[in-house]
Amino acid sequence: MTAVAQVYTKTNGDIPSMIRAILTPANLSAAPLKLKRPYHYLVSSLRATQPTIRSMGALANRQLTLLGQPLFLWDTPDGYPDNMDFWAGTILSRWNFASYVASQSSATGEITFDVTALVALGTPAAIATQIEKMVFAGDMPAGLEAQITGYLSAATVTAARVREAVSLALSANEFQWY
Amino acid sequence: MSTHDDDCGCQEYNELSRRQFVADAAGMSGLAMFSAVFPSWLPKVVLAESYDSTRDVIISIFLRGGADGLSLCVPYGDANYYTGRPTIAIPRPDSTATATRGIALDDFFAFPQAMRALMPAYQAAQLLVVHATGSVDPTRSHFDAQKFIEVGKPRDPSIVTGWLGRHLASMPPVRTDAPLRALGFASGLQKTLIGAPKTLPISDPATFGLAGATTTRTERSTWLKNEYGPAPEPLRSSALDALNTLELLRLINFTGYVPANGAVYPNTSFGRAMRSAAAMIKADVGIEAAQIDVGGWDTHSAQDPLNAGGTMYNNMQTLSNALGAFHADVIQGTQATNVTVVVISEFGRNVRENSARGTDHGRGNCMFVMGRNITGGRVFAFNWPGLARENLQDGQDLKVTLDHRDILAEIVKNRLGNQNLGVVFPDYVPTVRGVTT
Repeated sequence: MTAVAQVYTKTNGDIPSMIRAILTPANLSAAPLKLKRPYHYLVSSLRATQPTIRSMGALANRQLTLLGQPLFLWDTPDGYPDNMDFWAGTILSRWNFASYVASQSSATGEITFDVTALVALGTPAAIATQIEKMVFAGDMPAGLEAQITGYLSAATVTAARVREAVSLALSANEFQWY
Repeated sequence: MSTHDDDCGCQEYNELSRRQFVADAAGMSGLAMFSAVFPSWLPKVVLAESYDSTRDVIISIFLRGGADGLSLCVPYGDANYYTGRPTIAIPRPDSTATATRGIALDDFFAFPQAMRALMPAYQAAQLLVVHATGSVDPTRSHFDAQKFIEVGKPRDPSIVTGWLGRHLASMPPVRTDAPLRALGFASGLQKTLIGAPKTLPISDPATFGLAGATTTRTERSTWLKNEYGPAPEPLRSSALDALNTLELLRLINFTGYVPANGAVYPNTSFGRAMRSAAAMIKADVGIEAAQIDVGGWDTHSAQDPLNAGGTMYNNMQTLSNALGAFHADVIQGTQATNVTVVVISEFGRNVRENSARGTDHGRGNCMFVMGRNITGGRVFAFNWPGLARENLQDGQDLKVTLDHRDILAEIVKNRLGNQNLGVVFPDYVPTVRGVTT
């Protein structure tokens, strides 16, 4: 507050200057985690998995309804809540969305997620590393990567198993925040 | 309020449950939960010396949008009602308009035809209508008014939990092994329930399940349980509650549920929610509360409470049909289950209709309470202020002469067994109105 007040005084209330004083790397790093709302979760999941999408409107409308945030349908003018207490309880719907995205193998459906390249990597460790790059851009916590590797190691590495591992990565606690 | 006899073994169970609750509350996560739900400025929570497993299940229903109480329960005995509503007034019960005239509840108030499904409950003295009630705050903002009622106190931004959430958090569970104590039939947890332990938003319990291959379901559930163990709250609790609830809800036959007494729930989202609530209550799995919302009550134009197919007529018919079915199925059902249903809206609407044959945001409203142990069969209006212009709030609205928290507090204390009213309704001293037996 003091820093921003000083900038305000120095610049006669220049808003861009005040915003720069707020959005410093140190402040951003210290900011608390924010739980993704369903819309952000859906978009981030699709960006991570890069599936082929043939019918985005239908997919988004249906899945956002299941996730609890059908677009523009909040009753009151304040819009969908932006707090953890409202959304935390909907976690099951996110796990189910992750399962849906990761399981779509049809070449003609509204969405296709191709795991051929992942399966070809062969070993659980290599697949988990690639999932880490896809979903977390290399920033997946070590513990989570070990859990993904463990899931892949517990059974034969098939396409179905790999799809489940991807869905678990998208379902993980660490992927719910930004 | 009854207590258990010692010789049924229940006293020992009661003591164990209370000790478990205290032990949980003393744990790290319990302490964190307590301080989040009960800030230090709230009165100290006094745990019951013994808990009462005959505590009612409460079904809290919120009519979103400001439902018109003067149509829900018609003051036909007040001539000003007809003066102010030339096109949308419900005719008197003695009118010759037989298709649309009101159904007398007493010599002053009537139900519209759309609410006739509630007459059996009213005649059984198990439905109470409270009129000229509402929030003491004059806001006409939907979301402010809803928030003030849901958190149990107007205009205090420090209160972020719901009154029902604080009630559940300040009471030991009816069943210590219950993975789910309450649910909101919604896509996100309603404010009324924020702060409640073991509570989830579940829009349709019949479809609550973990997607994916059945052969790996257990393995994936275990993986998720381990993954979410160290997650931050409230995500951690929500995840674990969801996983623990999966098996519970799979055991309840929602699809094959047969209501008692031939009750038929309407096939609407509200009707289905009430039916699911009935199934869960009768399954006796430890559910203590449910919050259900019904939208569509913000009737600024073409309100039409009189004619089948009219906006408010349809809303009231759906409401009453579902509540009537629940009354027949659960409250008068063969299974002995104590349930209290409360129905409330954020505010009423103007006494006079507008030029669009609708009504705008008002103040005083009616609320409904239904249950075996409610002093029903009457319309309770404390000091009915009347609808003459000089008696209206701001010259346009039915006045609020009874704070709705009086009704809720008496239910919380006498039907839900909770003496911590200062926690449930902070900074409010309720007046006993005699709405419970």
